[in-house]
Amino acid sequence: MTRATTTARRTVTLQQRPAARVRRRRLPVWAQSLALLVVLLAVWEAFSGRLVDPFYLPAPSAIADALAESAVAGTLWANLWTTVQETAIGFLIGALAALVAGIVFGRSPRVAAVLDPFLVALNATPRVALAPLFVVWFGIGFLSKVILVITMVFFIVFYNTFQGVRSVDATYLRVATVMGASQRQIFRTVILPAATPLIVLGLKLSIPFALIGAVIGEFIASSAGLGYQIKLASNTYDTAGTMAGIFVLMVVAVLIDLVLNRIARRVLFWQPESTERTTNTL
Amino acid sequence: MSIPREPLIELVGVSRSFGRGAGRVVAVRDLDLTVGEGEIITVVGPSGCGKSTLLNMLARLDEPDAGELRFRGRPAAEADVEIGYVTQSDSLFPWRTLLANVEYPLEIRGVPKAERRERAMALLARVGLAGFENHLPRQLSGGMRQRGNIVRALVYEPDIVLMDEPFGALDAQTRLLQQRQLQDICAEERTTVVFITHDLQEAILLGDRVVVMTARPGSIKLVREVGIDRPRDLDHIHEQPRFQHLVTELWDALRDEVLRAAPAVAS
Ligand SMILES: Nc1ncnc2c1ncn2[C@@H]1O[C@H](COP(=O)(O)OP(=O)(O)OP(=O)(O)O)[C@@H](O)[C@H]1O
Ligand SMILES: [Mg+2]
Repeated sequence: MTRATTTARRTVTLQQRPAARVRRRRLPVWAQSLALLVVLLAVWEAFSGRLVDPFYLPAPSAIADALAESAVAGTLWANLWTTVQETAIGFLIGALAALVAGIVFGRSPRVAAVLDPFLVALNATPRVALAPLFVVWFGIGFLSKVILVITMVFFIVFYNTFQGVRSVDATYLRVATVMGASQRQIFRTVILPAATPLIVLGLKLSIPFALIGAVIGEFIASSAGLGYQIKLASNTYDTAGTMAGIFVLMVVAVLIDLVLNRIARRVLFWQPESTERTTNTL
Repeated sequence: MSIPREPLIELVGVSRSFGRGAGRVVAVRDLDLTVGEGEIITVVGPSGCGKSTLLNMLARLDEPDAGELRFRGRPAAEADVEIGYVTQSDSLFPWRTLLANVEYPLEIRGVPKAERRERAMALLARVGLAGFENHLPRQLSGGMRQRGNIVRALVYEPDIVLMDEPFGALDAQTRLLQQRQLQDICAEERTTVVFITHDLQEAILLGDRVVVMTARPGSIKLVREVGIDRPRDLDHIHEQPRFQHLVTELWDALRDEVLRAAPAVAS
């Protein structure tokens, strides 16, 4: 009796000790990240102008100055607004078209088989290489950027939707059929929800590409947008201004990702928590 | 002893094969079987002998290559019967709560919300799932999910309930509980059931008649009337001479087929 109690007590203390130690000595993760950022910025600030020519690597303070300057002048906001509009409109049109196409193709294997080689070829074409052509066809304004964004978004969303619709677990379709669901009801109540995780993944993956499409379009020919602002700065060897523009792009991408993750978690409430991180190339 | 029943399901010379040429597999051959209204038929047979194939045809998810399948005397395609189907693996929709899953068949039939809630909740309570209705399938245990599956197949009061090894993945105690619940529900609803299992004792426990199938190509080896009165005391049924006699007789028949299906194990 006594022995058992002692053993139990010992086990408890053994288990508690490491956790307590962790709690005492370690800062929360976000604080550690923040500390690391501060250190990195400080080192960078110290290096620039001493070890590295600020022309190549401007100090964070110089970048902040450049940012503040264009913010005060208002050019930053105008350019940001242009790029966000191009991205958003291109994304909406591209994603919507891709959803419809993905569902139609996914539902009729015949259409999918006939069009498959074309899609493979189109998808293999580097869209960036099409950008100059789009400028010739659609001008240097808003339209050519939106169309570039659409081509970037379309294939990612399309393939994910298509896969989602095709890969619905046959068991779900069978039980729904036996329970007496019509084709329409099966589509609405089984295929769509089952395909949602992949569709959402496609949408999430495509957003950074939408932003990239808009910026590349602006690099090639434009008179507005963050890409234009970055290009203008780099043309005049204004590295601080260039990096200020890149910083804004980064912030926009991170914000969109945050919002999307929040929406995704709400839509996919029924899925187990995943630690998955979406990665993208380019 | 048993009351003559109206035939509900009739299989006449039913065969089904898959693939063509050298890869052709005859899954079932020349099945003849009649299932009466309200009858509980259990089917045992070696793995791969075509039990699921048979069930899929009964569910009208698949058609025989040859022979005839009739429900209440009418060809399967035209027959007006509703069927409940419990799959071998659990198949609750992961995006719906337990309650919404059970309401599903009522929802697609356009049953008003209040009524379908009431019917689903009543059945869930019957199998001890009250209080879990708002859980998602992934938040339930395997046994709870399988009960949910069964309840979903019963809630619209189908004429026939097909079950494909519904308790196959459960531990012995959970199994016994579920068998008991199933027996109670079947007794009350007077549903016709075709129940597949690889467990001979379970087949005798639950069935009015037990069908033993041969190794592939599956056909019917023998059919035995269980003839033990209902309600059956599942805890003590094993001690009854009739039960023991059936186990011995059916196991002799089944063993030969199991060995034929897996000759490597026999030698
Ligand atoms: N859709 C299909 N296509 C090709 N072959 C199939 C198909 N369905 C079943 N078969 C074959 O038919 C045979 C019988 O399969 P079935 O699933 O009916 O067996 P079973 O008796 O249910 O086995 P188990 O007890 O392991 O579930 C198997 O040899 C299987 O490979
Ligand atoms: Mg099977």
